[in-house]
Amino acid sequence: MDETFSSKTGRRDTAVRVQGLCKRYGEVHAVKGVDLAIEAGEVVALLGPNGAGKSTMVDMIVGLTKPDSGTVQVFGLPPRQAVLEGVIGAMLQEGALLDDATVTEMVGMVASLHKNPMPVRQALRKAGIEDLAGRRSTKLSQGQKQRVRFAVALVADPDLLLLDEPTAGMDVRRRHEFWHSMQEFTSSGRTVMFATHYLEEAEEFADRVVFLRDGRIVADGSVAQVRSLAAGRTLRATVAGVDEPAVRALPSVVNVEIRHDKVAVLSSDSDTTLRALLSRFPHARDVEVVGVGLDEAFLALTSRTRTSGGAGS
Amino acid sequence: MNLGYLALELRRVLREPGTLLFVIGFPGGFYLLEAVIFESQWPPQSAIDPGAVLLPAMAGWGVLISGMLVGARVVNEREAGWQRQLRLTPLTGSGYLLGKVAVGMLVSIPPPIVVALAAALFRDVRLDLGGWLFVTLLTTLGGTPFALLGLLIGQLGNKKNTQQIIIIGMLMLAIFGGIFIPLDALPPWFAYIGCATPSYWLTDLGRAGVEMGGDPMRAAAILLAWTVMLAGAVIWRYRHDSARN
Repeated sequence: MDETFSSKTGRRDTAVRVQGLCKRYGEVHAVKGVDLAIEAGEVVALLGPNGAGKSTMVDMIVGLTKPDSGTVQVFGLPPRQAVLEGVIGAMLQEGALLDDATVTEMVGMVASLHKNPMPVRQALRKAGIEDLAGRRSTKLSQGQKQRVRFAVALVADPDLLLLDEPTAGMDVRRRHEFWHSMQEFTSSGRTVMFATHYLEEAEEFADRVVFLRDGRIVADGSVAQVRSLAAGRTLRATVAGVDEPAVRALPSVVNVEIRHDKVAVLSSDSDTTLRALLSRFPHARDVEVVGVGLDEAFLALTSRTRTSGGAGS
Repeated sequence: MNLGYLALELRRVLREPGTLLFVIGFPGGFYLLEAVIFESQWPPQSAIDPGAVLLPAMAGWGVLISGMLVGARVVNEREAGWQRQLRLTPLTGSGYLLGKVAVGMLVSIPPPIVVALAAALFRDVRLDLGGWLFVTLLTTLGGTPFALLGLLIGQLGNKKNTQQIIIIGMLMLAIFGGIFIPLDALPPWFAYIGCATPSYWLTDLGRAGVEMGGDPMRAAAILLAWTVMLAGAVIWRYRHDSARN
């Protein structure tokens, strides 16, 4: 047994290893060849629009859905084996609670199914629902239900926690409360992977962001990279006789495109870049600054990842 | 099977307001009511008392409704996604299904005992120990197919139609099984259909206890065949359901 933390696998190897994963539902190609490696201790956000394949990915990682091809390993184990060992805790979409049982009964029953569960009280405390212990699930608010489901996932004392849109349907305040109760778990060095379409959540709580679109990973990078891109602006200007290295050398520049005299600069801090641009090229004209769409930001990230030889994993 | 899981399942069933009614109220009440109705038409020189004749039928009825109603409750947690949640625990599919059947059987223990008590206390029915065993515990055991049938219907149906299917199914099984009206009082084609129902053989098994039935081993063998067949269907459906996504 590893004594630094009561890790079930007793290892510090790759938490999730996904290779060549494909899944098709009839005509719909939900996941098209995904490779991904998540190291133990990482907090990874799986970000993407609806229908990007996030839920299908998560379902395959926990072993609820069989991939058409490709492999999934969780701490070196096949998904079902990892579930049996109590290595995976998961909170899926539409995951239900029993109408006719109390919070303690549900969490307690799930605990009794696992080999080395954490005490039920502790799971309730970590999920911030100690005060709801004797409550029936029919008498819970939406946000409270989510936290009960979180406790159900937590009570296995898993090494890897998978959350599929854990805050869907919550208002901003409840989202905040939820992530607050999550933090204790992540701060203990456990691995967390969560699917979301809220960029703020990814920014605030993940170390790493994997962007999925149309069943493919289109970007994979650190939060800092994503944040700089998502907060970025595009500067456009016409600069006669412009040279690209000079533009690239401007501060806070993320990406540069030049067509004839027209310059488009993707910047993480448009004010700084603009000042520097104007002092370096005083004859610049037709200057405009526009916000970057999320898609555009991620596309920039993808192309950069590609040119730098694949920063992913 | 896991005890924590079984305990919660049992507690949930007993918590349901209707459970007490169909476990204790229905079979006992039906028995006493039918006994009064039959008594007025009973040939006075008959060797056997209507209280004894109705005993295995009403004990079987109690087991049948308990097993089917408890089994069908699975539809709620299936629709709500709780089954999906349980697939993320070490509980195996067979452990889950076995727990469901076990709870259906446990809840089927009291109904025939209630009927037997009503028979002994209010109708002066006297049987030997073996006879009591046939109309109580053996009837509960013979009722395994009904717990499975309820489970199968709950696995196939949705929240809206399961209730109706269960009620219609229970009534059909009771009528063709000769539970409400003895089959020999009905046109012969009832008896032909009756032989194809597990409910007929459940009452036949119980009737061995009041020395009216056929060979109890034959009834037991047929009920066992039903059990195997329905268990197979339940397992097939559960696997099919999980392969859905």
